[in-house]
Amino acid sequence: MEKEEIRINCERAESLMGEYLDGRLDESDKKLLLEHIMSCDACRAEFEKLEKTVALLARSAEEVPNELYASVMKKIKAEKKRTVPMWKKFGTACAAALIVVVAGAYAFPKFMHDAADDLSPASEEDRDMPYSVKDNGETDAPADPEIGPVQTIHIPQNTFLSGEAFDAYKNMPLEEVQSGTVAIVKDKDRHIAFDLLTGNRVELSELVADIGRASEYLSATIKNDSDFYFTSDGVIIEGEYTFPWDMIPEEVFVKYRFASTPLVTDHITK
Amino acid sequence: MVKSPLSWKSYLNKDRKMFFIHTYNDKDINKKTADAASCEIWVKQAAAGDSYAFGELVKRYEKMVYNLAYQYSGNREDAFDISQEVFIKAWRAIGTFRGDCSFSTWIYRITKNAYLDFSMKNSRRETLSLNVTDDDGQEKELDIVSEDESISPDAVAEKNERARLLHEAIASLGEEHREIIVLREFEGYSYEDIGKMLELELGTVKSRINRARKQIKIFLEERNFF
Repeated sequence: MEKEEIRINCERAESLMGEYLDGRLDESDKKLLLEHIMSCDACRAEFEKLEKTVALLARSAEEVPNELYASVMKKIKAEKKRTVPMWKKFGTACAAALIVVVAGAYAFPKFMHDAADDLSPASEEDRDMPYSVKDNGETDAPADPEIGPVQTIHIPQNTFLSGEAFDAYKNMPLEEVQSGTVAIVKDKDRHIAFDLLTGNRVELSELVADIGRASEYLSATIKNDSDFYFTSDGVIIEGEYTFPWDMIPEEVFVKYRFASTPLVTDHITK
Repeated sequence: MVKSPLSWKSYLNKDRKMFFIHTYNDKDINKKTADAASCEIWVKQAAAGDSYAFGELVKRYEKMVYNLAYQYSGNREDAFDISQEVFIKAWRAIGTFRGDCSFSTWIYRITKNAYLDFSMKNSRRETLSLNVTDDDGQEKELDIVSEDESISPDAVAEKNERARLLHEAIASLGEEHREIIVLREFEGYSYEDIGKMLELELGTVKSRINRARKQIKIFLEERNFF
């Protein structure tokens, strides 16, 4: 009887794992699952594998060829000239002209200019795109001045990488983030580490091996007692630890900036 | 302030020396909602004939469309052609988009239909699922698969072993599971959004996601991935 109960629990636990990883479980189911995982070796092993699978899948999308965007834009621009109904063109031109009249500028030549635009492929392109797109998808768009080349992430002591802060790592290509690649944090009297793949905290005794593995992919230098410093293809991560080991806040704020995102203030709850 | 049901120390597994506590949250769902709001503006402008606005929609949805097309067709060349067709169809029809479903649902349906049209036109090209690998009788079919250079090992040789295995694992799934992997794992859509896109009950979405993940996990396990 007892055996059957464990089996049922394992089944239930397995059915809850996916939704747990997607943040969909309510507190009671979450507690039930975590308690089961901690007491059942088989389910714990399953959970770890599933967690890795899901983390890896998020990075397994096919890369979209650069040419797709350019090719689509080229085609729809050609299409636009053929299919936009006359009244629409005329209406747009009239609206433009009306605005110009209200502004006290020259209405009639502007109207003529707009109408002429519809016949001229070059000017059409210039008006729609603030920058040009070459056939291979490259653009001459200026780099966003808000987004710097150096990224910084502040992770307060003893928090778990998750949510958006952890999601930022998803920008790293799959080849660069392997399981066992860790962010190493040197606290006053000990090292702590985060698995960059899953966001899991890795305990000290595992760290010796993890440092070896991490160095294959990332070069890590510990600057001093309160910082960690990481480089990988220009990504620099810096840690800031201001809380004593035993005084862990419930909620902390994290600022980070990655190449593809603006500066974000995120908060992590432990 | 979210408080964990148990203190973090209680999750320390002394044998494995791992913590299991996570603070997964629903931020990706919120992100999608914000995303949908910004898309609405582009959709309106695109519907009025603004091709720059439409370009923004292409940028936002090309990953989903291309990956769906790739998972349906099984090769990059067709995925490119289908994706291109999807956006051209969307451009032609965007004036008729009334917003009674989300734009993502709308573009998903165009993708699915574009693939069906494409496969009708190209019926000579068989899209075989790689999971047909069981017995000797299947040798011929496997030869056909390996002739398709885009899913041969060479085509993914640039990726490392892990990436290659994952690629194979996804390819081993049936179409409905490959599709759900794109929507959930690559695009991060909520279960509810996926339900609307695929016109499925929430329970079916859940079980499909679980099954797809489990099959991939088993595939990887069998190849000593972990």
